[in-house]
Amino acid sequence: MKSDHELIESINKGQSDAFEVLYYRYRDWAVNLAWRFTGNRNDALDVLQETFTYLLGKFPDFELTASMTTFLYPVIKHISLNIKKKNLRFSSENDISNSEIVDPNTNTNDNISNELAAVLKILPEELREILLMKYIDSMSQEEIAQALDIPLGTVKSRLYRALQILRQDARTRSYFLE
Amino acid sequence: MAKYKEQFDDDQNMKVSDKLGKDLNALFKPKLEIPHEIDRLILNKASLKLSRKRSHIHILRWIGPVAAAAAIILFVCLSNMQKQDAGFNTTQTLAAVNTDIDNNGKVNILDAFKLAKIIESKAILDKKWDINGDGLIDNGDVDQIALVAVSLK
Repeated sequence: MKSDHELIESINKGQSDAFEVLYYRYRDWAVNLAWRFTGNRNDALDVLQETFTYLLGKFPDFELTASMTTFLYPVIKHISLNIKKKNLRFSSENDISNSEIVDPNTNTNDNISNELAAVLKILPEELREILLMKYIDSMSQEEIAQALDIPLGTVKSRLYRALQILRQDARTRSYFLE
Repeated sequence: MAKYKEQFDDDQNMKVSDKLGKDLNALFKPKLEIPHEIDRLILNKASLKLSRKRSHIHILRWIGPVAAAAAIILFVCLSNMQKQDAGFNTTQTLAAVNTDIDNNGKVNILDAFKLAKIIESKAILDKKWDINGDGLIDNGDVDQIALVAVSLK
């Protein structure tokens, strides 16, 4: 399997089949991330298109200096928030922190997941974002710092605070190893 | 600050089970069906754009060799011209030595006339009058003398 860097090198030479491989490698992750920000399927699909159009515009001189997710994360976030703002589909009180979380009943019947969703709703946005980047996007703390353009120490402290809140809440305490 | 970071890293109380990741994924990773039209749209756009770029790359790829070839041709032409000039100068030098046909110490148009007359008379020709070095003593040599005679120094 070709690495992202090898694929990018091929795309820089004009090979569209390499772009196709890269697209399918990150498509699902990108659309899920967009959905997390927009809370809307159609908007997420729009973000997907715009994201890969943006990526396409980087060729033929694209040089990937970080991981692909680190590169794409801020792009997807920026496009998502712009689309969301433009569409005005949500009321002002229904901000990103609420719209990001899907109704757990549509995804799982697990009570623990319901409780997790409830605790996540009370987490400050900047803490929740880092928690999700680590546990859903499987990004390292260094990658998170790069993607959000914040110091590594800030990432660590935010993650620590997020976990602290989860640990202190009886509904999510069971996730922690004794 | 480094110690502070290490404190976060090593805090055993913050070790979480794999279930947290699984439950978060269940909450935030819906099964979103991506229509094939979206895939096709994006990939067609890529194909179109990259093929266009590839043709640009082809053009750019040819610019170097073409420029190099042009430079070589130019160099060869200039070299030939220099050789011709050098040849001309050699001939001119030889001409300066041998063009005083009437041996009066001066080279002028009369020497050209003199050689022309000698050639016309079919008299014995001295090899030194082969001014242009082509192995023949003929009007070419006359012209060469005329050229030397009227050249500006």
